Amino acid sequence: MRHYGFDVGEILPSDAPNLDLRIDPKLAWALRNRQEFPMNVQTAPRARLVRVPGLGVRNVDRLLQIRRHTFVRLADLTRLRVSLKKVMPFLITADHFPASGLLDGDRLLARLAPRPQQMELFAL
Amino acid sequence: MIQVDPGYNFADWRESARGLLEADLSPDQVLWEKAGQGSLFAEAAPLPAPKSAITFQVPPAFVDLARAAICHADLQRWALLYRILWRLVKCSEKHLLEIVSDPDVVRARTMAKNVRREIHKMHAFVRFRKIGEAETGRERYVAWFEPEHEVIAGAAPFFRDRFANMDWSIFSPKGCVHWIGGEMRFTPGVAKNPCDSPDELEEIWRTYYRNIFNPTRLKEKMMKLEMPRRYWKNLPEATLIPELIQASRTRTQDMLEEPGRDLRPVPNNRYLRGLQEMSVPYGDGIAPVEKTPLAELTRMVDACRACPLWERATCAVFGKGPENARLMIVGEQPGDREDLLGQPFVGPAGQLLDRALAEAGVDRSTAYVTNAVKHFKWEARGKLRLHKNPDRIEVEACKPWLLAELNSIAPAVLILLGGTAAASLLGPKVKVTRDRGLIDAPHLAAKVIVTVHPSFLLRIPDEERKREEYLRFVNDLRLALG
Repeated sequence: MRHYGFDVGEILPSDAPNLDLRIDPKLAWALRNRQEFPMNVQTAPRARLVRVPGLGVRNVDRLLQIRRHTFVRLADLTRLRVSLKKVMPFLITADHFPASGLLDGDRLLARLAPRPQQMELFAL
Repeated sequence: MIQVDPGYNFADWRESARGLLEADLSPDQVLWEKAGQGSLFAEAAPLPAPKSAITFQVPPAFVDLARAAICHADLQRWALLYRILWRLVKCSEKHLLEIVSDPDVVRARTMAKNVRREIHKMHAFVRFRKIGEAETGRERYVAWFEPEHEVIAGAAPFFRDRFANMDWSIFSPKGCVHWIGGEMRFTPGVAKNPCDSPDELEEIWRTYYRNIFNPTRLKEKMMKLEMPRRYWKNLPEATLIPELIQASRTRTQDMLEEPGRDLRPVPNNRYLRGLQEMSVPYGDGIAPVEKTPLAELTRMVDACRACPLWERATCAVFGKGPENARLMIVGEQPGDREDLLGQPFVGPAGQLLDRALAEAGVDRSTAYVTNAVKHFKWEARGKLRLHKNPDRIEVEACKPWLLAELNSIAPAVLILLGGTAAASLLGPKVKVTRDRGLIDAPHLAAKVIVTVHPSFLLRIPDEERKREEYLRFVNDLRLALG
């Protein structure tokens, strides 16, 4: 909330008073507010850009620096070590526009939620 | 294509790069290779004459980046930096360095980061060996290090600042640095460690390392991240690490399985008691230690903060009497006069008690006299301070002091004056009116007597009744004899 500007009501809306156990709060917010996406990485303001799942504060600041001088492409995101799998449904770059079906539908959560991991029985 | 010698450091490279820029030679026309390594692709021709005498504006960020990246081991570094320089200056990509996702910039920044990391590791992992003292009296040390990049010059200032008083040298295949007599000199690298035998402190260092290694906090991956394996061959403590890692599991397991030891009783010594007095007052659960001599208890009780009564009282009134007393008398709390004088039972109630004791044939000077609560509880009534009964919490909070006195004196006869004293030691069920007289409580004393408090006698308005009650009181006190 300190860095991304989230309000308590955005993270815990009245109809979902508990945090989702499978995904992080930022992704949960994004899935609840799909009307905000996809955002254009070239023109979106910083406060909106940090809400994109997969973009952290550091990378957003780097992108703001980069986009003043050049068009941001997927290759730039790769070189910034951004997870393309996370970002692609929500972001528009110079060489990428998310397919229309990508953002809609329930399959998005299934695709983006991390795989459940088998815990070790005898871990020390 | 022309061949250019990149030189030995940033200044040399900069010189060459300037020449190339002036000659307007693009990066793909230049081969950066040290002289003496004749290349098939290029000729070691001198640079053509400059076409223009323009000076070049280069952002300072580039200079910092280049200074770091030039130390990297990658042979492509000079070409890369020249390409960035060319783009900055000739291709009007003035803000190239801000585009951190540009492939060239990414490579250069990674190189710079790795060089800085290597310098940091060098600061951490150089191990000196003492090889004696110079005639000047300065100690002489040597070290051997094998860095991946050319960081000797970059790391040297740290050692100079740290070990300014000693003469030291760091040898490495990539170059050597010497600090002798306050002067720093750089010499070419050597292939082998010139000082092979460890000094006396090395074994001490290894012992120290082995002992401060905490097996329960071992995180192998993290350790190897911070102390990569490739440095281990020059660290004297590294040979200990595998066995320490191996043993850590069993050591941790043993620690977990070890049964908890019983708490040792608090030692009874003057130092600890003094600390107790000075530090946390009783109110955080530190009760007076049993078998503390009464003199110490008397000093400690003034610091007691177990209940709020201390704030409004003048002082704490502890018990008074001989330590070997046979008889112990417990009242309720100090009154107005007792609070001002710091002695128990010296006010009107005390005087009545003295009289009654004398009549009963009991010598007060042989008795130990105290109260259940040690601070005066009062409320103001004009100028007077009117006594208030202490409540259960306050009596309970003051009980450890009473118990300490009881343990210390261990009287044969215990007289409890009034309901508060009785309730404090016998529990709330005791009623003075009903259970007056001898009470069976062998855990407190052989003979326990419960009777009224003398202040109750003082408050009886009717003279007739007052005398009756007084006589009854004296009779109760007589029970103490024999």
